[in-house]
Amino acid sequence: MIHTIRFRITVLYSGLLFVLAALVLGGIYFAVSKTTDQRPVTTEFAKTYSGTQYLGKREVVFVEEVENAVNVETMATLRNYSLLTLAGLYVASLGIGWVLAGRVLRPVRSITRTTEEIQATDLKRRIKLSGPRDELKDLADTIDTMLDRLESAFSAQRQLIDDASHELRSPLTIIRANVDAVLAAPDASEDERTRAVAIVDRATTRMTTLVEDLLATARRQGTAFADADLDLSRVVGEACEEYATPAAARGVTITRDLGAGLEMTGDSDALRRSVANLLSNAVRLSPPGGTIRAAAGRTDGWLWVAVRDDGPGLREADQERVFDRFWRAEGSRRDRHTGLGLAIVRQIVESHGGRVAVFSRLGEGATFVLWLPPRDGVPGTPPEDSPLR
Amino acid sequence: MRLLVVEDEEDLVDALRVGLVRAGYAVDVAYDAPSAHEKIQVNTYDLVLLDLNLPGGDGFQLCRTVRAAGHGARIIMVTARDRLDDRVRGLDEGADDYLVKPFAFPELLARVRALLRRDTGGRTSVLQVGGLRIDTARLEVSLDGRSLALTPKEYGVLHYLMTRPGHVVSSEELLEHVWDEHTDPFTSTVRVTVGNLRRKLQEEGLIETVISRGYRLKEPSS
Repeated sequence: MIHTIRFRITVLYSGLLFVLAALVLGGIYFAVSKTTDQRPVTTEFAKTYSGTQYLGKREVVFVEEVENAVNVETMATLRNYSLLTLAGLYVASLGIGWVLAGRVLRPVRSITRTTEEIQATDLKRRIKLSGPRDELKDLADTIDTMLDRLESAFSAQRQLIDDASHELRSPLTIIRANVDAVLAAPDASEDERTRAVAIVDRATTRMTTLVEDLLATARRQGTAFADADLDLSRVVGEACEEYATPAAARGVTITRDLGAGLEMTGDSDALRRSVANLLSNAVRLSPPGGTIRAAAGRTDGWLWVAVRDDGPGLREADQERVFDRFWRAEGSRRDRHTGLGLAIVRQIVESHGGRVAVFSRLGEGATFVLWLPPRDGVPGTPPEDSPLR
Repeated sequence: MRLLVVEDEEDLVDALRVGLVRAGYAVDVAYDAPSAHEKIQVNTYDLVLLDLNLPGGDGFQLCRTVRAAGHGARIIMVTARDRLDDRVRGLDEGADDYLVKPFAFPELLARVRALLRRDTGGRTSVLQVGGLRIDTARLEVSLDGRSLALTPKEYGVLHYLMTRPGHVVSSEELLEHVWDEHTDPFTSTVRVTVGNLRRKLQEEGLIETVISRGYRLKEPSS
């Protein structure tokens, strides 16, 4: 108990009060004693006469001396009462101090109790301290907002694990079923076996891509980027070259329209990957014979990369969700892509202080835009409109 | 016995179909909720394997529809959703069983057998009527200790008849439960298969023809 704040506050408070009161009373005592004479009464004997008749010797004192003697008495009384008052004050202040400190510290106790009850798995509880806006309420509110952030981070994590395990289960089920029902069956025909091997191969590739993408998102969250000065046009150009062959195989052309002097600081590997992910989607969704336009430039001080395709486009409602993890358009569920590509793009761009945007109408293709800050920094937020006309 | 596999993952359907057909079942496939719905309305299934995440609809909804329509088909939910509330909800919505992906195929087969024999009061995977004995797990058929080599369809017809000994089973019913949706309903395939089956059984009168109504497996006289 000696180590509690309540005890220390109480002792400090009543100690201070005691000292102050002692000073005041002492001061008064001192002042009173200074301004008055206090001497003991000296008795003298005087001969008393009634008329001429001698009555004998009597004790006599001077009036002054009587006054002095009264002063002595008063001072003694003053001292006694002062000491009594001081003692009473000390006891009373201890009691009152104990109660007051308890009241002031009550919010702290309730904060402690609530935070004790909050488990790592259940972050739903909040302190929700009532009362006036003071330091303790500020503290409680700060803890509450911290819990909000923790909870959303936790649920995002849990969601990722749920989604990832769900996504991994599908190819696993396919592999398992093909092994059990076809490959391990002694009477399966050669034809069935060949087919099952091809299916297992596809499912394994799908799992590999998924695991790689998941690891990529985890890494992006974890460590800092290898930042260096880079030319955005070159990064986009490299990504275009990477996708020239797959595009040509589908009869899709990639045109480039890259501005000069787009210098920024960042991780060129990560940025190339984000542009490559956009191109990968564009190639997959473009109709044969279509054109993909890759452009980079500068608008309102912001650098941008835009990739436009002639694909099916996106519904209004889907445009907000397109960058979410594992989101796939309704018709593309049978495609063998993970639904992580655009989530990775967003992560890379946002970690560079940029923003992603998509402009699309159903049936009219889509334009994905990455806004990135230039090397010398940029004021405000990136423009709302698409830089590609 | 005829099964409907409702699953949008084509690669998985391929394997399931091969395995289930080899196990002696007639298998139809639906890749999305609306076509599954339609097939359930049109055909008679003994059992439905139902995925929960389907394009164009939700598996729970489909399950409710099947139950509301009063179809007696057994339903096994086969899904990657392994959360407790999903499992509880699945069973409460009318599923007879719930299997979480990834699953072992032999387990799926065992569960299918277990559900299918509930209707006929069978206790194990072995069915016995008189001297006829059929092991649905091993796909073995024997008559008075003599084992018989049957084609999958002959096996299917015999299995179906053995679950209803003494009852008249029409050609249409056999077609519904033993053949899949790709069969022409006007062929004489049922008649031919029953004929072949009789020849292999080599016992006259074991499968009787009830004129203009169908077939009947003779109950043991004892």
